[in-house]
Amino acid sequence: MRILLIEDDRETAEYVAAGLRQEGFAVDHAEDGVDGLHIATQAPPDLLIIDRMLPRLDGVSMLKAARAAGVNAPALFLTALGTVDDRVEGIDAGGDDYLVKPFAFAELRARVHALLRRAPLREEKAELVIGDLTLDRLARRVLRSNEEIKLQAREFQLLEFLMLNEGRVVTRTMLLEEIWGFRFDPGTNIVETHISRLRSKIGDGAAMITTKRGAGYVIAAK
Amino acid sequence: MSSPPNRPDLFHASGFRLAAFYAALLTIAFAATAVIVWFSATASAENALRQKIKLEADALAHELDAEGADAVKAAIAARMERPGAPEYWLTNASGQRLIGDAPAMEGPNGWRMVSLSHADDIDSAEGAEEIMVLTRSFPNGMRLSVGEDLAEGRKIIGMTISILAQVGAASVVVVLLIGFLVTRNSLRRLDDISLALESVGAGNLNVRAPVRREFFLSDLESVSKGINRMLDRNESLVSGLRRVTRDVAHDLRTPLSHLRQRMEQAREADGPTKKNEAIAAAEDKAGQIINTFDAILRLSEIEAGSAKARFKAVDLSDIAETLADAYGPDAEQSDMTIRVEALQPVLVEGDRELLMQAVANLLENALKHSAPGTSVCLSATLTPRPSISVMDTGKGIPTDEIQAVVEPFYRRDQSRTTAGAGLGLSIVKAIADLHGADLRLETLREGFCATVSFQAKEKLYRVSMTPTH
Repeated sequence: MRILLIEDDRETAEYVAAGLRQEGFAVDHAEDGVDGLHIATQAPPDLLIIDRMLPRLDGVSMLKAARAAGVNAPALFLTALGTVDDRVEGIDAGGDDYLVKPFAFAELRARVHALLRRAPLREEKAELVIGDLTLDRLARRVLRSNEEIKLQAREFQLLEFLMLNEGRVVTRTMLLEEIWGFRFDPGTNIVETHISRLRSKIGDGAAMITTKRGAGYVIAAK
Repeated sequence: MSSPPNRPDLFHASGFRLAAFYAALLTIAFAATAVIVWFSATASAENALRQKIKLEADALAHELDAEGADAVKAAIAARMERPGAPEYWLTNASGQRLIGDAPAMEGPNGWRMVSLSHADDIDSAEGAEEIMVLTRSFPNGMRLSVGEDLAEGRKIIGMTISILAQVGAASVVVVLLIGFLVTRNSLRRLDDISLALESVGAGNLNVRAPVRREFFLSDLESVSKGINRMLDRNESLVSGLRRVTRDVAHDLRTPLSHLRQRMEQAREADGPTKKNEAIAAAEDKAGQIINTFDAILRLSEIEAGSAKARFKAVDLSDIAETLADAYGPDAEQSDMTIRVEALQPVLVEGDRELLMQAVANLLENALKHSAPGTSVCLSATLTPRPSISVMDTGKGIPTDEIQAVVEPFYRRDQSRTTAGAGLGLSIVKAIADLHGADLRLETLREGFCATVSFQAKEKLYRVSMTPTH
């Protein structure tokens, strides 16, 4: 998997690139919008990570140009501009996700994985299976060892999202955005309590859903 | 203390000029009155005189008719003895004098003015006087003239005019004096106001323009009050800004120093477990700092108002239900329940994300301040105005603190040991303001209620539809 990182701040770029390489990605780095556009069109990557404020050509214009040139890879904006307006502008320009600086690397990693796994096939899967846990997306049913588990609508959504990202870390922020549509950070532990309820409902004594401290949650077969 | 710039001197001040103008008007008015009084009084004095002369002539004619010429002569002689008596002239049929000492009064029948000169008369030093004369002839050929001067009437008129002149002069003096005093006072008041303003300009924000009740200067009083209101607002803004700056520094400095301590601990810690714990604690601290920054940025973003362009129909009932669902398990862990009272969709124009955040902040506050075993009520209603409210059974906020809690960085706990940046309610207030909604905080007998009420829907539509026409 090749990731193109377009970021003019060298410290951030090195930190992000080093982290992503450790995850096993190949990382190309461009320091301004024009170089970034050049690389993106010459050798289309699997994912773009774009800073918004770039020399020569800003990130939004760069992505618009790249999209016009047929670059279809998912793009994630990485920026210090965190207002709702900025986010809307970024999404309108063809961005798929948006991460505001300062960010935790765990958050970036989780989002990169989520974007790369947004393959069309996955969305069409009607049944998600992890070990003895089965989630039927059409009948909206959950079975564990062939026994039905009663889940509330929100709990079902939560489990579905975790299972779609099997083996990958899903962060608290991602869950807040995806499940409740919250774009702010609630001061309380609402995600934690929902997860712990879900755990007890699916009889998760042996820890199918694990907590990654400072990062998020992962669901995986035991 | 220097005199304020551009201050007019007393005699050029508008107040004094106005007084001088009034004085001139008053002078003209009094002069006009005098002229009118002169003419009308003269006319009425003449009338009265004619009346008197006619009565006299009638009486003598009657006497002549009844008792004959000699009796009339005697009567006239008797009358002439009295002081201030009229002048008489009586002639027989052949025109000879019967009695009287003013032959000049002889003339045709009817009214005339006659000039008499009598050097012997000590009353009239001028030697000549104008008298009004009535002459009549009788069937037996006798002619009678009765005349009297206007001196008395003239004297009264003269006195009236002179009193008018004195009153007029006194009024003019009083007007000028009041003008002088009022102007001097108003200039002093203006001086006080400009000195107060200069003092505020120099940084003494608590100085106010003097407000004194004075009968003639009520307008300056209201100007002073207006200026003072502006200065109050100014002071609260400036002190708010100062406090926010100080609080930002404090709120970021404290966690930054904690962060540094954690990192030092991490460096000093023995063993990977302890090191990791210290590093995780440092990460938490950094997260807190970022959250405070985010809240500050968010507040200024909301206040800038650009979100208005994205307003869509938002259902407050849906917000209440979503939040109750999200926070429910958390509340249950603290042995609390969240009740939702939302019977119907309550649609308002707004930004769903922001409204969600506002109500979430209120809900978090309510959960934080409620005792275990109680419940928090989230309700959305349509009447009288579309509104959403969060009610808890906690201790609430003392009424005198309600104003203050929406101020940025205000924390009821002054020691600032509790978590949170103290921006929650400020953000709620800013979001309410952005939506043209009111945030009402009330301490109830049992609990506390925060309500965000929106403008009635018709109004909203009228406002939002107008530009399209």
